[in-house]
Amino acid sequence: MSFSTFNQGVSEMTSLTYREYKIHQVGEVVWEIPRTGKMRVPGRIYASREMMEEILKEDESIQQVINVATLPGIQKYSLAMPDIHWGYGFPIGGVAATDVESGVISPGGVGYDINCGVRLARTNLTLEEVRPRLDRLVSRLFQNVPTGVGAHGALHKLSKKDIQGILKKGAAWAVENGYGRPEDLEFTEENGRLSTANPEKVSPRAIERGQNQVGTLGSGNHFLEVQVVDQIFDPEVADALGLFLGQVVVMIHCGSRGLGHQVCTDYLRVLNTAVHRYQIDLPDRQLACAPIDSREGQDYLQAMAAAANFAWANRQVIMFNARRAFVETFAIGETELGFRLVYDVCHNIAKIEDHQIDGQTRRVCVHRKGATRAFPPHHPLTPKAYQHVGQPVLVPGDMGRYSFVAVGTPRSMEETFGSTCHGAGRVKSRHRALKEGKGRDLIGEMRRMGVLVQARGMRTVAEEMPWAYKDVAQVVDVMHTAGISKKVARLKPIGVIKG
Amino acid sequence: MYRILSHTADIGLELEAETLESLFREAAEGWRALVLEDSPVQGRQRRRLHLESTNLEDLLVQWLDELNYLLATEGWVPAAVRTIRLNQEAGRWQLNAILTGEPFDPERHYIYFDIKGVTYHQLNIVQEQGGYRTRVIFDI
Repeated sequence: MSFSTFNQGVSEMTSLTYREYKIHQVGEVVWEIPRTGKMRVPGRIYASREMMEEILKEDESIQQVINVATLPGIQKYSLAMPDIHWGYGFPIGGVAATDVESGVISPGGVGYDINCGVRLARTNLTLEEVRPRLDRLVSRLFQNVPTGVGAHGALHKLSKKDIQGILKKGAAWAVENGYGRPEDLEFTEENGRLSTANPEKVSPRAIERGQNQVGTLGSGNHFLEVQVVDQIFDPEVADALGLFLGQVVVMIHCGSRGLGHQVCTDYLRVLNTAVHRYQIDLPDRQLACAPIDSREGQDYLQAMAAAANFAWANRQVIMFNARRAFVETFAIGETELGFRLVYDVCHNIAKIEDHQIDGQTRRVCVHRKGATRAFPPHHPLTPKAYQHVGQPVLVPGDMGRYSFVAVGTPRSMEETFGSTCHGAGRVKSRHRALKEGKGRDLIGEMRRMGVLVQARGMRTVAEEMPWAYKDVAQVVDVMHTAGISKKVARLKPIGVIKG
Repeated sequence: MYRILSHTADIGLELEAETLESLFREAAEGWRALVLEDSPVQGRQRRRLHLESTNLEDLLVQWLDELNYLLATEGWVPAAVRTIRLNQEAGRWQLNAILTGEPFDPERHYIYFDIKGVTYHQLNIVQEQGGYRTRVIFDI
């Protein structure tokens, strides 16, 4: 890696070298890898200069941006958000849009945890009101929302009909069955349902892995947090989203559990064969893909949509059970509590969307792997209540520092296929975090930071300690500076439940 | 021989063995060490497995997926690979194995990692003088 600087306009721009590739700074926080070799489009990375240096030192993620640029039908750029890190095939933080007629769909561009996502609910309660009973609230949440590896049993055993309903209807199934309100759907990306879902394309094995897991968090970096709005950057937008300083909110981060993992596993195998059938030349096997209009491609898209619906039903049921925990702990009525969904976003998904390319509206398949949709004000898919401010973007951080709320902008449509960052990303391996946490009272340390943590295993707590993560503020700031998503509020955790 | 690889956000195994059978055996051992660490597992029950694929890498992914599946859906934990045979017939690889193990018991067993999937990333079984080697990365 080497740096050189040159003047472009008023500000000083940098060029750097990665292996045989040149990377040019093309904006304050935008870097471009010109098209060479088998790349069909250039690569573009959103990052500060300091981040860029880290990214180049750290791992192979830049090579993965280059690899993705070779996919058939890819449009404009192979993109990476500032939380880019090494993934499987696609980098995490990667965005790629492929033409629906000439392009491919790749399960590696979605990831194993299909429709992993984040949902934020607000309350009328303030920190002062919640603090005295926080202990009780966190215990109640821990009772109501099963966590940990293989967590199950949030709902009574579901029938085959129920599972079909969940796979077809997503969050709407949960609402129809009493787990939430119809208006929740309005504040969920895609209204909590991809209509292209076909349960028949989901293997019995995937259904078996997921059937007891609706309403559960799972393990790893997934969480449910009680947070406080501790900073507002844009009062007008915060007000439109119903957020105010000192307000207690709930953030839920999880996905499609075992069902989604199995769908990905099943279709990677199918698409690995398809690669040979359609004679697609790939630099990495994990990029396995098929033409979007092929049988294999359509089968995956339909199964992926069903798994995405499963994830929405999952987060809807978790939110319902979290609301119950508030009602039980504070013994107050629903009106007084004012528990309302602010928004629900997915950050591992492939979507068929319309975007402007070379002055024309084109239908593309946008792969977002560790990237969040960030649609602007007045977009038809931005909820009615948020038409004037834009679609909310939820960016979770680590359990000690903070998470962010932002909104999408018109620039995201011009530059990133309506996408922005999704989180912090690890800075220390689980192994190293575990080693550093050994013999320490981590729950006590978190309590002294003002965060009450309840988890199934101490191991997860050690792996997820704040110092194992990058500072998410830097990630959000890059996208704010780039004008892709605008910061609205910062949320500080006070209570956490984990696997 | 297996060695556990720990990257920033991932975990995997580096495998080396004299025969293909022992490479697959080591993979299962490594999986057990990662997922269950030193949880004591008794070989009270037997499971017969039959897997097929056109290539060895895919067969290895299937083999490890099968262990994940048994744990995730049937709550069954493996103690050891009792027998394992690999052979190639008409261009297809076949694996026949007998595993010993027992139902998951929360009193004695602790699951350390929820493996979402076995990836094909950098997966390449290489035959060298004196044996085979590969690495396999898990998404967790």
